[in-house]
Amino acid sequence: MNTAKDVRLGGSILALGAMLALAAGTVAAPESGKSSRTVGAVRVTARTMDISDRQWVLSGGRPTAQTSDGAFFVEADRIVVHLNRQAGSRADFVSRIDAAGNVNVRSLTPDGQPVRVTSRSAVYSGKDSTLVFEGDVVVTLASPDLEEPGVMRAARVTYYMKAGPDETRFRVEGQPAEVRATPKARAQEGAGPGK
Amino acid sequence: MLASAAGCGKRRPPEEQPPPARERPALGVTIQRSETVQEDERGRPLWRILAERTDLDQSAARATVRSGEVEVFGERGRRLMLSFGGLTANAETRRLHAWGGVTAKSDEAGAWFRADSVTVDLKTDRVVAAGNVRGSNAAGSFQADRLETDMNLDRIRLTAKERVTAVIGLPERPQESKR
Repeated sequence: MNTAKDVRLGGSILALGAMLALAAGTVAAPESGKSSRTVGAVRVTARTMDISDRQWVLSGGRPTAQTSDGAFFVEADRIVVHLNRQAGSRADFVSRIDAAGNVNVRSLTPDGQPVRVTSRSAVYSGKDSTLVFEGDVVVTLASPDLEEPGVMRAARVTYYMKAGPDETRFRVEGQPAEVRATPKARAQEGAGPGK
Repeated sequence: MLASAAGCGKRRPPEEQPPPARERPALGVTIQRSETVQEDERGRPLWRILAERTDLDQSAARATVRSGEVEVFGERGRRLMLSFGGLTANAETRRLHAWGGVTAKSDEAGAWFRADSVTVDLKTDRVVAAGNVRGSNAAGSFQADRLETDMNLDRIRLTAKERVTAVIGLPERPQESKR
């Protein structure tokens, strides 16, 4: 039997079964990510680009930015890509990406599950491999453990991209924050191999 | 009667009229495989043209050049090298207009770009490339319809009717694109 879980909390963090490893508000970014998720080269499009030594400002025609491996895509009204000219490697060259206005992000969890986020603004930080979303944030996360994609709504969500392969970590803040997920029913003991 | 008609009014005889305001014709001088350095009034070089063929106008202030290269000198010591199919260099306006598969390169800025045409205005320190713009700087590579920058290439504005596309983090070098 399927069980639908609607969870509401005034304030902070919720857990979504085993799929979303959400800890309490004290959750920290993983100290040592087993799989690096720094963005490396970024493919960008826009109607206008203003390039300087330190940043690329994209505007007009709904700018987009996408990592070369396709693992991260953002579309917004305005995107600013900040560069670290002292970076030791190409992977650290893009230090930060700011997206503002009708932000739409598509990403993949380390185990390949699609994540979609809409918000008013988003900031990718290369230093700690996080994505911070603010303003009417809606996160949609698919998982084979869920009957349908889980949905989180909050004022602010931090996505730790560097989390290990077994966990996807989000920090959800704001009042109210809402997480909705429908776990799949576990296979009955003695039942035949089901899907 | 004709004489009296011509005499009335204050018209000058035709032979005294100033020449019509139109472009001065070329001298008819063609210089093959030349190197021309244009200086300003202080003796500072504005540009140096290496060309297969150069046509000069009457005052030699304007040159039309076929197949060559021009090294343009900016105010702050930056240099921009253009190679082109055709070029008009006007010393009076301090303006260069290059066309025919133009490649622009700045070693100091670590940047290059190609375009259908490039205009350099030294009075306003402005460089405009138009048509099928493609190039890279130290931060990445790009494609656009139009590029605007200055002689330092510090700040570049790229625009397109549809979309500018670029890759940040993997600069493309001219020799890499030849394959």
